[in-house]
Amino acid sequence: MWVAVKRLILGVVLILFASSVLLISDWQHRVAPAKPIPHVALFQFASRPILDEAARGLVDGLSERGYVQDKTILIQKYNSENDLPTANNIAKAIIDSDAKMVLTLTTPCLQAMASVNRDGKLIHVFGTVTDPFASGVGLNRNNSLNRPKHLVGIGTFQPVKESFNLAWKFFPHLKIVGNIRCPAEACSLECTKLAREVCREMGIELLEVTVDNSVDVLEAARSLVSRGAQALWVGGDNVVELALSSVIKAAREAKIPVFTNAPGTVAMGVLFGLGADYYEVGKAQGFLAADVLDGRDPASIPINNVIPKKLTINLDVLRSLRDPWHIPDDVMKSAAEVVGCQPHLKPINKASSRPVSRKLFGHNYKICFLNYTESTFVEDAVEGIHEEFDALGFVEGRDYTLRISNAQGDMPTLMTMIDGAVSEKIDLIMVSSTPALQAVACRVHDRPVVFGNIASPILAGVATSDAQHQANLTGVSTLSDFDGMARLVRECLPHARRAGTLFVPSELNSVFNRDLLTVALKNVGIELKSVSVSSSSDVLDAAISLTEQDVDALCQVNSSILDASFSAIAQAAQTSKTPLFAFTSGLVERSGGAVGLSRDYIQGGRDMVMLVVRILNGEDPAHIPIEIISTTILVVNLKNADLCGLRVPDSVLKRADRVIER
Amino acid sequence: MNLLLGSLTIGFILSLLALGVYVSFRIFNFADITTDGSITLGAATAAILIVKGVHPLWATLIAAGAGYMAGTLTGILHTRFNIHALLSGILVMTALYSVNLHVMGRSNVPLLSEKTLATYAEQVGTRWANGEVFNVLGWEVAARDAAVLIFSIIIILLVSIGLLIFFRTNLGTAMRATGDNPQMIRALGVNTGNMIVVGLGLANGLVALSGALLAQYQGFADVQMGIGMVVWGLASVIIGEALVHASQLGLTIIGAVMGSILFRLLVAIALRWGLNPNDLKLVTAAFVFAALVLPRILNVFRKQKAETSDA
Repeated sequence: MWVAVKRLILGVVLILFASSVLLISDWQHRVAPAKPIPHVALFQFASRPILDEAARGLVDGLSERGYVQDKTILIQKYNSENDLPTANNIAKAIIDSDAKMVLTLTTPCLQAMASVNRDGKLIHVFGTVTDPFASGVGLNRNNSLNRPKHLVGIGTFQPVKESFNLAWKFFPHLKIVGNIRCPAEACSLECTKLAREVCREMGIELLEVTVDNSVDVLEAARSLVSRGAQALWVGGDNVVELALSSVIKAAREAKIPVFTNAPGTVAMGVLFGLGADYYEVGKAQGFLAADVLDGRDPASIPINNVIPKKLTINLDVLRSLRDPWHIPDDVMKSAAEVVGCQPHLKPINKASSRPVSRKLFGHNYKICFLNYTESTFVEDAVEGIHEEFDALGFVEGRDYTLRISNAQGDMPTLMTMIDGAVSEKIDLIMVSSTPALQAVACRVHDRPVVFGNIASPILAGVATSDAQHQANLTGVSTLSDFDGMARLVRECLPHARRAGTLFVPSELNSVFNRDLLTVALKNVGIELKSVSVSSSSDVLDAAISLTEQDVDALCQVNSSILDASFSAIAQAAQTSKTPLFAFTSGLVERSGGAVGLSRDYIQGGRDMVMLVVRILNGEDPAHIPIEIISTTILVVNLKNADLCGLRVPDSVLKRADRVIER
Repeated sequence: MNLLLGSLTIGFILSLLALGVYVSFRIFNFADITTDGSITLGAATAAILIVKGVHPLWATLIAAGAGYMAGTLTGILHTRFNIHALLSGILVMTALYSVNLHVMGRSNVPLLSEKTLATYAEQVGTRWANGEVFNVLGWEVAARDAAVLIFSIIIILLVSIGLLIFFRTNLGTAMRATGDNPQMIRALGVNTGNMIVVGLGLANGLVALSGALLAQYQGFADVQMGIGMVVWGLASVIIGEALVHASQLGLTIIGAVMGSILFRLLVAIALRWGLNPNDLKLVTAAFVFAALVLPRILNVFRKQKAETSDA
């Protein structure tokens, strides 16, 4: 027995040694032993972008101060989905729960919570409230310390005056501004009161209408337009903000701009939003909550107005306006975010030059790029990633660290690679190729993932549609431009009736591609014949049999086996004088194809970075739809075209990105 | 800590592969390349059955059964048709590539939203740990990772003990004798051909079991996942032998398991130290080399020491 144990010692010692080496490499990622975890309720009124932002800031603010969700603090989230009776029920439920603190976002939540919490069972920290003193919960404007002892928080009065100043700066002849509000909203009324004062000083006439619910907003907005409003302004009004697209619609019809006090609304078509950066507001509330959790007496903290200003501008709106609105450069520079392109600046096939919020710099985000096996596509994508980071002004080592890992085609190593990335506290994972994506999707749920070089995320099982996908991941798909190809074939061969392709039944993507191409070609009146191939040695025979089926063109879909033996297809095409189209530019440049319409894999890398930046900027990957690579490359090889009997029309030659001469 | 747990889990799951290779390569002296195909066969069978709604436990067992069939096929090609051992393995492995495609109906089956043995283990783990994470010596450990690791350790324990008992039965002894001394065992009236067929079946059953578990752990089955696996299995077995340096059955089985775990740990260290991605395979090769040579050097030292002390 002892001999047997002795034999095992070496192995056991080596395993223990290797394990401890791994653990020691991981030493700095240890966390302090857990204390009893405080329970906290987070109560939000509705799911609007600014409230989600604030909630996110709140959670981040708490975690910055050491209260990390599910680890050192338990945050139970409640959302009344814009329904006041529900909000009251939730408030009661929170009182009965074992939470010892409640954090509320918005005035209705503050009011609902304060009314059931009169005897101070819970400490109540409120935020995202325009004017807490007007909300009737027992706060005194003149002496903020004279209030219920369990109630503390921050106010965020919208920068109404600054918004009107800015609007006037953009259009000095501004005389009439329209405003819609819901009379039931206390904060909205406060904003409007201030606006009336500001407008009187500036000599602007403020037209007001009130609505009872969001359905009436469109009519109300149109009535303002017909009364001659030169711009519409929406203050901090929950009801109107929910129907903001109606306001924008009415404004667009009249070619006038809308401006708001909510910076998050510019993407919807608002000219500018000057308001609080609600992420920062949430963070401030989180810090306050952390102070109280640390033991500070809530009654001793004054209630302050916290307003981290944030300006966002949408340049696309500017172009369609009736009046000459103009945005000075200095204002542009001060904007945190600019949506839309300036007319003179059109990035084609170039790294994007969209400005990036400055707050992203200097964090040294740890990003890793995981990949299953080497290929030219991956190398292109990596090139694009570096280019785009450079173009956006990110400096490697200061703003981000990108580590590239490659499993060299070995599945178990892929898993170890992913575990390594997770234990190294990587901020964001970029992943390329289907197996790597699937492994990441299975193992990683707690940090964002951006994928690329995936033909179909749906087939990979990580998404059910472009918008519906696993919550922590989004990315760029390389799906071929089938409609573009169909138009291209039609343009080159106006009389074509039938086209052919080979496909590999065992390759998921190959079958998928063939089916999509069939539909696209049918739309331009071309029938697609397909012949199946099981291995690369059958390719030549299959291609010859295809050309004998009276096809006017070969239009070869992507497939890893067929791409590798593309020369055989080209040989068959040239023998039978059948024009050969391909979906990969390399196949046209090197392997005998005549015309290629390919996704630009370098651009795919750049697109991945754009998604990375959006996520680092605070967007939730769950809400970012999966994109397709944004540019395609048209390549024409005149030598190959001659060989397979194709006369490429001038119109195609003119717009080709690359032409390989005879 | 995640990395350690993850690589231990993969080490344990792949130690089933190592045990399979141990049975064919060491007990029968049969270099069986079927492994590359049967690990994927196990993964594919389990994955497609789980997607079709079969309970993952049954799916895993049926996958092992499918591996057994593949192994017996190699055995029959070798013993009944007198095809060279390597070639019969190559034939079955090649054929399995197409079979696997047919089994899955395509090249890749995702299991991300299915209930697998791994998700069951995760559920149990979260219930026991009473939360998503718990703390070990200051490291945060995800309960699901720990549960999956414990679950795979239990399976390996069961399988190893089962193997040990099996190879001590009359049938098992006859099998071992078939590898060691076929003439002797034939003289005793045992049909060595049948022994090889059953033995290879057993070996590939283990390999397919490993594949089925791997697919459930990594969340998908892919037609390419088996490529090169036989090499890692062989490496684990040989590292294990170098470690225990013994010929007793129990020790060699433990050796194979330890070899597989040590091998995955070394790969994890190489990855953790952030080496140039292109050097990964080179470094793994160097590790295997070191693991093989070190024990021998240690032995030489030991002998010298013994000699000097004798003198």
